[in-house]
Amino acid sequence: MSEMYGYAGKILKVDLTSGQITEIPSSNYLPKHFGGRSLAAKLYWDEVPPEAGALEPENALIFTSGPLAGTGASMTAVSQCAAKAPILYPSQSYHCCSAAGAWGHEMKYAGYDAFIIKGKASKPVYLWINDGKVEIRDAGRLWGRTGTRGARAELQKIHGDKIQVACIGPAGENQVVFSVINVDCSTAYGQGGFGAVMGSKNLKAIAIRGTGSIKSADPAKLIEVNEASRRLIGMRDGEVRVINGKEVVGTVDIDTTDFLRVPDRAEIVERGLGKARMRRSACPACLKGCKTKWEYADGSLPTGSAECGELQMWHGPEQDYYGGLPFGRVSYQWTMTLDDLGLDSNSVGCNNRGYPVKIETVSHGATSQGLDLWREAHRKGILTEENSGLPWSKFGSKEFMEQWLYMVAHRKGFGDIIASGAGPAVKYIMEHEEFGPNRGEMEYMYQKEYPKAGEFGGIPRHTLFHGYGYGQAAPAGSLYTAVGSRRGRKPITYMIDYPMVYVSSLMPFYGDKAAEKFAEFQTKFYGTTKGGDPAYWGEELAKAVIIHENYANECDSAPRCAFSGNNFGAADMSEHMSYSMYCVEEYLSAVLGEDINQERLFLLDERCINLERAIWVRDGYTNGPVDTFFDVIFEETDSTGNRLIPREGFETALNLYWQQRGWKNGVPTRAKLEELGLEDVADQLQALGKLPI
Amino acid sequence: MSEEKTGNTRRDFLKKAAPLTGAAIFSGAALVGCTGPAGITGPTGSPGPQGEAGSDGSKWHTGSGAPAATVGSDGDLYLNTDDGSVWQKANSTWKEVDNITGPKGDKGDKGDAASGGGTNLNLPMSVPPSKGVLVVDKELCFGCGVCTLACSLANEGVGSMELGRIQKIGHNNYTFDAYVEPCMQCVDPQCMRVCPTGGTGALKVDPVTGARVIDEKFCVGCQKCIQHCIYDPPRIFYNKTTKKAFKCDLCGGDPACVKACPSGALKYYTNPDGVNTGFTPLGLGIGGA
Repeated sequence: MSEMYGYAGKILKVDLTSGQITEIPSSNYLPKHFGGRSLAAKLYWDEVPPEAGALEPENALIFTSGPLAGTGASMTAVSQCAAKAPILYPSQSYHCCSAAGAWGHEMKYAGYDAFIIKGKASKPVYLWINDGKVEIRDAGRLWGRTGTRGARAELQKIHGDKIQVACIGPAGENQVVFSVINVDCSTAYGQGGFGAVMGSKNLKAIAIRGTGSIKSADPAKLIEVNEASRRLIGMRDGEVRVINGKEVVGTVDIDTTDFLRVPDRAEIVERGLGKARMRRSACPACLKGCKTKWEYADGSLPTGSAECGELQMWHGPEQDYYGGLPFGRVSYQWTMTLDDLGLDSNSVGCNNRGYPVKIETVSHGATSQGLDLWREAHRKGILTEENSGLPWSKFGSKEFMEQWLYMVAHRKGFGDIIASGAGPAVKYIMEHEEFGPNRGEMEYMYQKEYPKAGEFGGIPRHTLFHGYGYGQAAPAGSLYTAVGSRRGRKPITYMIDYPMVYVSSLMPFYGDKAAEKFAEFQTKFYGTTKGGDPAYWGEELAKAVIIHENYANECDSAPRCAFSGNNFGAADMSEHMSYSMYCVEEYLSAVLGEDINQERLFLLDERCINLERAIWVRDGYTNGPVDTFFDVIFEETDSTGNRLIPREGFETALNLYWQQRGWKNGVPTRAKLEELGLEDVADQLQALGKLPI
Repeated sequence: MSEEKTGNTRRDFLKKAAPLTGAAIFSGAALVGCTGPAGITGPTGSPGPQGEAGSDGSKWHTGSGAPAATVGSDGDLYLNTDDGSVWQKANSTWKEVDNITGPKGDKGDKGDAASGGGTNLNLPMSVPPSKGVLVVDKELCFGCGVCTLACSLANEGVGSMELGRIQKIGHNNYTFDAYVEPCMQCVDPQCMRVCPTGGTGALKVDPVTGARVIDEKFCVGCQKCIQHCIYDPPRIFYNKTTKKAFKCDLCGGDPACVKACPSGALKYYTNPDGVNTGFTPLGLGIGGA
């Protein structure tokens, strides 16, 4: 067991080319670089030269856990994967993505705070990490023969039921640009295309068994904070409770607040295709249990598990095609097939609202997902059954779903084009006459779907972009998307720019004081209530977005699951605010044995965000602006004709953001980097001629 | 009228009074009348007329409790079946005169040793039952493992899924039914029976809760308790570092896991007379697997 509080003590480094396995003391990096996402940024900065390609041996696949994981602190089952990401377009650069599940805990119990995997094995292998003993083993019987489910089952047979496995399916083996690394039943590192990175290294899986333990400085305090956390988040007896201080002031039936509709206790439900047992499932140390498991007694579907909105991404098309009740058979098969093939649901799924999405009016409708772009292309006659090999007349059917997923995962026919990424696929279509006279419209459609301009676009747009698709301006969401590296990184910005969602759910408890109550929270945590004004793009907005990015980093670094502070069960979220945003300060203080306040945390957050920005600068950011959108996005309007992102307002807010961050034209200054203890970063950028004067 | 009376011993009464069922014991008439000088023996006369029926003889009565004054006649006897006392009626009054309950017998021979037990012949046939047991609602438990971590924090001061004394059945993500199963604090704890350190050694009964607890000082790490736990998987665990077994001790009556459970699936059930859980001689009891 490590002597450090919170940390496991070692970082594992594996070179698959030479087979060399080394261990680095975590104290080389920690606690200065926090953990999780923050640690990942530093390891990437040190390990990956800017000229390395995403799918080349010099890229490093980095996995990190954080100081709270495995300590017994609740809501800490989150870990990060980082690398140069093939999804970014037109230029590749750094990306970091999170996954839920037991992976982060098991890493620490096995003795590691992080893994760095470089090189490329000469033939397919898997890593076996067993309580500090590491082996590179042959994966010949897995590669090319198993999906993620099969690989996991095989490895469990060899190494026991209790192992945790990160693995790729055929999509990763075939280096599909949006393939995932599946880490737990139905959870994955989904965004960035890290499945392809792993596949490019001939690495099929990593299996871990960890039986160790993690120390905390003050276990009694940790237990207290857990209890406070449980009171705020836990759902005893099927109720979400609204708490004011220590008093329960009301309860809300879980069904009305839980958009996932997961039953509180295992029960038989009648779904579109018959009776099934459904039950809730959870990550380790979770108080909420957001996953659904199902079991059809008649065996008509394999037993399965789904996370979050994954089930929702096919139920619209299925209903369109088959009619009938929502969440029918094909939705379940969709989620299982997706998991098994190792594909990212956002890149191959559909709008979860169920109604057809028209690209021109996407700002008025709900978010669109990857497949919506291609469906629209079909509607415009650009993609036909002949040139795409897809049965479009049966869109929504099981046949279509399977054809689509398999051809993309295995890069068959037109699937090979899609698998290279939306940007390259659009470019290909526009250059080939077989796609007809309307193919020129693809550029416009692509820009609507993948709104970020500049070097490092290629991430699909997200719900938060325009107030959850209600066609209302959401300045915080827009700014947050523009400056951040990720789509829809939780926590979402509604607390700043979309108060209506929360105020209405607080009304049963606070009556006409609900708006006032919510305004208190906004002020306490973001320093402003102006974010809800769709026309406000001023200084307080920039500050609120910076604070929000910092909170997001804490979720990704501490770690702390974003569902602990930002429930869709909005009735109870108000009291999370009264305790602290995510209890991160209290937890870290108990674990590390120091007084960690928000000011100290913001320093850690800034260090990470500046380092992430420095990586992008090193990789080519200064070739043009990246904190912005395509022109077509600035032209989007709400239903009354007002611009959703007025260019002038946006640029004002962006400049204020850069200023408050201590950046010049989006690049960190030396002064800022030195303030954060990143002198070496400043020196390297200067040597490359990329540091602002 | 005279009554035949020989002695007052119990046996004398028994001779006359057999069977002691209340039937008339003394049948026939009593001999009465004067005698004159003896005459010559005359011819045998013809049989005389049948005489009148004689009066009832003394009777035995039985009943629960002392006899009521209205029962029986003078000369009757009464057995109080409650306590074996014997009563006799004279002058219309019952009076206790004896008791047929025998003296206490000699001590019996020692019984055979219990079958199926291990090496612990010194363990009494039973140990006091536990006064509490953890109960899991398996349909409500969503397998989060917060209880396991709460236990390891409270009892070991660290976070560990291995050192928690309540653990999951089924691997959470790949088994549909994955929930926790605690130690059932068996009425007849096999772990205690097989422990080579004896019933007051490593495995003992907590004096407050009745929980079956391991005292590490005496544990030799043989793991027999784990092997003989009737549940699968066993509810006792082995610590590879300390090389000792460890198990749930109900936290002295305030289980940490119950407090931490986010769904309320885990509860602490108590009964001051003892909980009837786990193995009984007749088979698995309440809460059996």
